[in-house]
Amino acid sequence: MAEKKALLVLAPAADIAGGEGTGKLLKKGAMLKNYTAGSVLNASVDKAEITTVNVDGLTAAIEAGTALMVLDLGAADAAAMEAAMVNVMDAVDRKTVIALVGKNGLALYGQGIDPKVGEIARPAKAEDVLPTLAAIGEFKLTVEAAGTVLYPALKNPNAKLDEIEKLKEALKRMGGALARDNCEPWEKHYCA
Amino acid sequence: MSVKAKRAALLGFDCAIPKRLEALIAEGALPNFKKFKEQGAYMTEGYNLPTVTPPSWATICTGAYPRTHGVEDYYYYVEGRSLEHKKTVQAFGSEILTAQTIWDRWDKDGKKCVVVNYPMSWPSKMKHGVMVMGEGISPAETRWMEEGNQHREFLCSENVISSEFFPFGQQAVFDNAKGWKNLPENDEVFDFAVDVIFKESMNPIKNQTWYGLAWESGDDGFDTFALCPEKDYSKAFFTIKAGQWSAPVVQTFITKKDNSEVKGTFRCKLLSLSDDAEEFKLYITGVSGHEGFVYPPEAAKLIDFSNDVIANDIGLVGSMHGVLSMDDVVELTQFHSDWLINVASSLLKSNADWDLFYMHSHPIDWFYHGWLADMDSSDPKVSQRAYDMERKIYQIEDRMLGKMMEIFGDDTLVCLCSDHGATPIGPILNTAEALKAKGLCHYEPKKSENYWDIYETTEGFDYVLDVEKSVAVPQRYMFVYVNLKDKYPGGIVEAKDYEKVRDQIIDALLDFKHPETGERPVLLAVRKEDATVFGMGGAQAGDVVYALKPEYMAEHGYGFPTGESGCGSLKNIMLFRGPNVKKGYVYDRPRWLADIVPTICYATGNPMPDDVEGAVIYQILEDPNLVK
Repeated sequence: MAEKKALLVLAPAADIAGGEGTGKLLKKGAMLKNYTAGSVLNASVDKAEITTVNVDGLTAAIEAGTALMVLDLGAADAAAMEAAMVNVMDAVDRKTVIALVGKNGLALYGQGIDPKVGEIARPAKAEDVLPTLAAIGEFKLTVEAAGTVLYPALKNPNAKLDEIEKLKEALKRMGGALARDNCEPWEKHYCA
Repeated sequence: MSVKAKRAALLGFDCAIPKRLEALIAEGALPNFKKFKEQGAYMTEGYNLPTVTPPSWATICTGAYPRTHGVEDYYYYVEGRSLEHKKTVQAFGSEILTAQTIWDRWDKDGKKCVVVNYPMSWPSKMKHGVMVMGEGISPAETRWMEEGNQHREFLCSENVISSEFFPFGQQAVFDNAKGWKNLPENDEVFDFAVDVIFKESMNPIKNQTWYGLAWESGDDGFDTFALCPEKDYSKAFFTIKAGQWSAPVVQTFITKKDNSEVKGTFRCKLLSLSDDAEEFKLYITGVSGHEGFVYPPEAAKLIDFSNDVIANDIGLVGSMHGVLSMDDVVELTQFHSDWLINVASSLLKSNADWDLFYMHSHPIDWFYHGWLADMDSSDPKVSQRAYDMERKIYQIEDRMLGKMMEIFGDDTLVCLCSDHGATPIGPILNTAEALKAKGLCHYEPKKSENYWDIYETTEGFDYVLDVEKSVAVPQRYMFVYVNLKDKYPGGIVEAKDYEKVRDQIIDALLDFKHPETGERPVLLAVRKEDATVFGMGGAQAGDVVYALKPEYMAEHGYGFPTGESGCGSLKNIMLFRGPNVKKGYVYDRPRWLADIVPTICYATGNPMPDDVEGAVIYQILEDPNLVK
């Protein structure tokens, strides 16, 4: 069960324009308009890692801690995509990162994405999407992954290292607490 | 005109060090201590043994030495248990005292004594007096019969709710707020829910679900936080921003025992909140109870407990866990002091005919246990930071002294004292190692599969003493026992071999050279009956009593009061002020803490407790011949 989840929404026929469903996503996310479309779901991940969901099943998938979810909106036009995104935004929690692939670019939002970055000029391509989501989420990549992580979109490019450091500190604190509980007469006392 | 004081008061500042007090007075940081010293008598050579809290406070309230009052260490050996150190319990409260206290003696004569947070006082045996629980080092807590460093308090100990893991806290993460009433008007409001566990309670209370809220007050990220007892923001305990303390909160709790309602006061500080609310840390002080720790119980009704928190241990453990900063600890120290001042002043106001007042305050000791090593650091930044903090802690105590002196007035004989000093941690002496080297003690490396034992390995505590294979068993801070077959569970030494083994223990301790320094760390090792010369060697002493040179171990408890090391000293402070006390007088001969009670009794014309062994400090009195 993943704590940090990734949701890939595919809407290749719809422009991301900041409507009812994507407004918040653009306001507090990253938009990469210099995006080269292609096969996002490529050999970067093993098929077993991917869970295909529909809008109705999204809440359950998120609550189940699904690591990598794909919502394929097919040929949905902008209006249909906006409507679907209203439901998506309502269903996701704060531990979910969303990548929305539209006709006019790639939008990233949520967990791990810099909410103040806005529009990013650097080029991005389809094979970058999954490595970027993997840098934040908890699914595995294969050795076939050829894309790069879109670091300018991330709130903290070293988030995983920082997380490991925090875990180490937590272990140290736990160890310290246990050591205090087991102190011997020749160890220092802590009071009085 | 009588030169006898009308009444007496003692304020105990745990671990205050004379040379540090003098230095801070000299730099002008402590106006009330300065005034007291100038208007009274100051003793430069305050002694007691052992240099640790329970025995010393027992001496300060009985006028007797540890061999007589029955408390010889921080820990207490319970007859019939194994000699293993971990089976000993913390030595607090009145039940273990084998000498009469000054307040019990005065109470017998119908005098009214008020005793607040005095470590060796609870439960009260007085008929006329008032007592606020002192059975540990913080008010309203007990440590008696608790092993290790455990304690229980009214109502419960501190907590932290954080996105990070802390051993004494609870983890939580913010998510989109749902199902709320009266949410703040905002685009994005996040919440969390935590089942708050209330730990280390005297009277265990049921968990409560509390809810956190976070939102942006402007457009520069999340900066505002509220804690609520239910999902209704209109009922929030408080709303604060990062770095702020909440006002005191009074909440009702339900006891596990009988579902009764009890009130408690707590405060929170939002230590951090990241702009995306991904990371946060909310510190919750212990919940301070309103009843159960005052005798007689009706005396508590005259105290308003709704505005102050006890802040047990001033956040020392929280700081060791990396939750609290030095500044946070100073703030908690002020809260702790405010609680004491409120309780003491309320009781003295409602008992205006009081004859004797005794109160103990612990922050200086907590500070030295946490930061004395920093004061001694070779890094000037680290050292300066610790010295600055020391000044702030002493200043809080100075302000308390000023407020209490206003209440006491000029017709009260007032004694200020500490129980011991402190010296920085030096090389560790593993007494078992010294005994093992001579074949007297047996221990094995731990064969635990517990991953966490790795920390004990790195710190040198990775073995288990096998009592049943040891003729000598080290216990507590200054003792080694002969493991007598007929006396202790797992004992193996025949009674006829007692003296032979005891001599071997003394030789082993004195011969031992520390592996790091190559020097002998043991200053003195004697038979318990020889320790009666310096006030120890009673029923609670081990068969051999030893003391270390001051540069080993510490902060305190292992050495003689004459010990000096680094910036520290093991002496205690002793000052008197009031009717018939010399003004601006400095007395530089050694005086023992056992001299305080007889001096108070003599100078006020009140009866001596039954077991007093100390002497009146005649030299500090203008007229020492009160019996004419």
